[in-house]
Amino acid sequence: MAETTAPRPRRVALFITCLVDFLFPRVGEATLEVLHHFGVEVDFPEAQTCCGQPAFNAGHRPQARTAALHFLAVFEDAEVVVAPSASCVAMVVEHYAPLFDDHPPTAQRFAALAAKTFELSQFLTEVLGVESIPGRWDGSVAWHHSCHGLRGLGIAEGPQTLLRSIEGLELRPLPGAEVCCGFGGLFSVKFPRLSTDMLQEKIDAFEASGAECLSATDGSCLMHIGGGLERQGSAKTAQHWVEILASAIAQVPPRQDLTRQDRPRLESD
Amino acid sequence: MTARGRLLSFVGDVDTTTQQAAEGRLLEVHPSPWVASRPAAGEDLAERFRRELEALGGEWLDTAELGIEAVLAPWLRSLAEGLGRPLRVVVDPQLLTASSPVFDVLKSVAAGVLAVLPAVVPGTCGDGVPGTCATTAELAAADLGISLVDLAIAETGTLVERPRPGRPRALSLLPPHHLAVLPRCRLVAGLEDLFDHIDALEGDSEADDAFGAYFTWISGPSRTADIEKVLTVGVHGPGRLTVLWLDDALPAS
Amino acid sequence: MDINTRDFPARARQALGDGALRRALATSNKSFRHSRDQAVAEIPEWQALRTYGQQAKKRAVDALPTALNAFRDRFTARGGQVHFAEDAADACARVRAILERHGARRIVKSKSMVTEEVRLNQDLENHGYEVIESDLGEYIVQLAEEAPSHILAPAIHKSRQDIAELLHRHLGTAPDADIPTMTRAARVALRQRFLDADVGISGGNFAVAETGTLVIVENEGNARLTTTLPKVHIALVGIEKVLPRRRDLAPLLRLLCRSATGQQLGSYISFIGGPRRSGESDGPEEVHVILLDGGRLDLWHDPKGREALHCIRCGACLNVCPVYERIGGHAYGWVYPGPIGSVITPRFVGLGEAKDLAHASSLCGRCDEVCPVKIPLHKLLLENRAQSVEQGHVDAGAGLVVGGFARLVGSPKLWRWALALARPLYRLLRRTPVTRWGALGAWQAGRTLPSLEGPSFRQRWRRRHARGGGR
Ligand code: SF4
Repeated sequence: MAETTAPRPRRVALFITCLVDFLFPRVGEATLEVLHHFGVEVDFPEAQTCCGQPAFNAGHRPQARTAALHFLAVFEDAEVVVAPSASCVAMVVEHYAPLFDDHPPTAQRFAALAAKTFELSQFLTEVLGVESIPGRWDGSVAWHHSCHGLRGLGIAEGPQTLLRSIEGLELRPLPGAEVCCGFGGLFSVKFPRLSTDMLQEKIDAFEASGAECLSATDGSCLMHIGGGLERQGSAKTAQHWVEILASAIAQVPPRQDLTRQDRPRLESD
Repeated sequence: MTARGRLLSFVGDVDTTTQQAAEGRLLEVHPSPWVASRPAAGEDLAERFRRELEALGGEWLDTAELGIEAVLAPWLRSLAEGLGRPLRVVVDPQLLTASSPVFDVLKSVAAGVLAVLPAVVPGTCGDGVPGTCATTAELAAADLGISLVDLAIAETGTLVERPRPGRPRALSLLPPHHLAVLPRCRLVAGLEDLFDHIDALEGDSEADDAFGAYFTWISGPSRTADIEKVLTVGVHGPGRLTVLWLDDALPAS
Repeated sequence: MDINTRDFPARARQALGDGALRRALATSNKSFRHSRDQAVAEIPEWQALRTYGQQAKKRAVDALPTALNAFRDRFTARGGQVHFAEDAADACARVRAILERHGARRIVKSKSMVTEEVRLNQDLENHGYEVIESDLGEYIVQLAEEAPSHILAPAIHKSRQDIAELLHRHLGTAPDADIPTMTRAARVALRQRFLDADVGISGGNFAVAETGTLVIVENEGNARLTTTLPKVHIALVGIEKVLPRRRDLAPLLRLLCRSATGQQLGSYISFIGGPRRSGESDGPEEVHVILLDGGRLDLWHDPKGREALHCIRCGACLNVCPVYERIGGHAYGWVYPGPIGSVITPRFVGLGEAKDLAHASSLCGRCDEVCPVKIPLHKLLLENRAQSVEQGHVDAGAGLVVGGFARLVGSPKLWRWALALARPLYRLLRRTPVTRWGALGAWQAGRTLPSLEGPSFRQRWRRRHARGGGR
């Protein structure tokens, strides 16, 4: 495998997102590992809370504005903001500035924030120019496009290219990969049966793909699809793509240009 | 303000000068993007038209090699044979002039093949306009309507018909089979070119520019997919559309 | 069409369980999508064309008063008549006034969503007129005494067997007739109605102000018949259909036809500029265009909603919508289904009357992607949700939760505590047996909640720091 050219290390502020913080902390740790591997230093501003998407999607704009202003206070000074979730990044990038269109100076600050906020795969492939991932991961993966990733942020090939570059990993086509899994946050609570029906289509396609693992950029889709698989007693899994990246990278001997101190440490260390 | 009148005042609250200025701005040219489906310069338009027409389920009768007589006469005869009786035809009066090659063919095959309808006989229409006005009932009873096309679009295989004194609008609509006579000089390349041509045409009257009272674009036979999305032709309009291609001269109109 | 938007959740649930409906919708949506995708793939410049379409419609709608004024002047100069109707009742009354003046009794119609919107058929029938729909799909739903379920393919919810039985009862065709046979029978039955009709009523796709021309796109020929044979033609058109420049027709027709049915152009496109001219032996002697407000002006005056008026009713957003595909058009409870329906219906019938519609979307954004005039449908759905909340259409419980959220989200300390407190509650929730609590039960019936993977990320980060770990 070709040696990855070391990009210029940078410093990013990590926006962990509620779901990863609360339910999928290992995705957060994997994010750290991958960023560290590519020589990126990570800050974790502990004052961060939620991006406000649940309130915004439910139509509660004043409350979403509160969340947005808090986010701005926490992240405005960062060089770059990175999050392992397309949906939360889309909230920041697409919806924050228009929420303040009654106050252009604030809207401008949000536009500047949007310009430096990236979903992890965007940051890796578009900012750092990462083209491949070292190490290996044995298994087959079906790629599910998160709606906010694909249509909100235009993330299509980036994460798949990185997955495909991993030795031992077979990327299998998932029919209807671009179709929504039916989660939609509040939607799945308001219309659970409709949501389940959409979920079933996704699961059927995944089962038919023959892949062992379904992967995506978003914890929310993965929670939904993974929850559906578990409810049906399927042996297959849904896993965040960065966890796959981190497992592959974990096979690589430590890099010489980083001190031991810079290496991430896991709970299991 | 009451609900009634709200729309009227929304529309009507402008003086003429303001209205004209505003309209002027609206008519500013905004070049629309070039679209690859428009025929390229040098593309054989007849070939393109034919391809598009056939893709739509239309038929192409080419007179370039054999001439009109040799193509049209046997075609009409075979239609009549298929029906087992003379063909009831209604013909565009523009094709019924002494100099029209189509008229000659119709006369030559008439006996036993064409039923004599008022419409095949030149005469005058309602207001003394020269032409042959078939009534709606006659059109509804006809087997074939023959019209001279005003313009055609190669890009989409589309025929364009403008209203003409003495030519019923329903001529290309009521009979189950429409034969459209298309001379080469009336074929334009793409949709945008068609608008250029229409602008260059003369208006029908003082009140009308060339956009006129009415025109219709015909792209293939009448079709529907309203039952289970299955394509079916000939639902209300003609189920068959044939284009008679005249490669050279335009029949006098 | 009656307004049944309040029952949306129940209607949606019922539709979801209707196997025949589901099969019909799956087939038709797939076929629509396939045709559209192919037609779009033929144009490499599609995105540029969409941008042009978006701008053309924006220019048109932004200049609505000017454009309407110009259309009225030009169309009138051509001998046509233009009316402005405020609402459904006004529109119906204006139609009836014309019918009365001509002593008309028999009316033939070609497809028009605006006439559905104002419930014209019911109104005319209540006043003793005989109204017959002539679009094959509309004719089928009229015979079945139903409403259209798709803006392009009104009878798409019915299988061929359903339709064969229906036509067997009404036209005497064989109970298992095939599609061409049924189509022929409908042609014959309707042909006489066209010949007998006193007045033809249609919709319209564009009203070109520059030339005073009404443009109607169709495939069957019934709109041509409707606007050619009867002595009087009345078109009902939404005010947003007015288009200032004739040259914008070329790009917009490309966008419309390819997005709607995957055709380059509809089989017939009629350009109508007033009544027949002297020397013509057919064509209507009077042509009326009734331009309807019906809620559109309010939408126009709302800068955050106005884009919804750019819609050219191609139906593409319905065909890609995973929600529409599962419940069909009737569940939406009014004329316009699918994403565009969820955007405009609440604006026309009232946000309170149709408050569930904006939520009938996972916000997946596939509709935005196909819309030929780039209407940001999912943003407009979000706007409806927000305006609905502003107008107070909110459950008390939701209000409390959101109020609490706002308190927490701005305070890192409270946020941390809340998350810590949430952990035991979450565990409890996870262990709650399936279907114990209403919505949550239904949620859990389809999927389990994930188990907690040990301490939260925050805690892990802190521990790492405490040990002098990396940053
Ligand atoms: S919103 Fe867009 S996609 Fe939907 S019907 Fe209107 S124009 Fe077509």
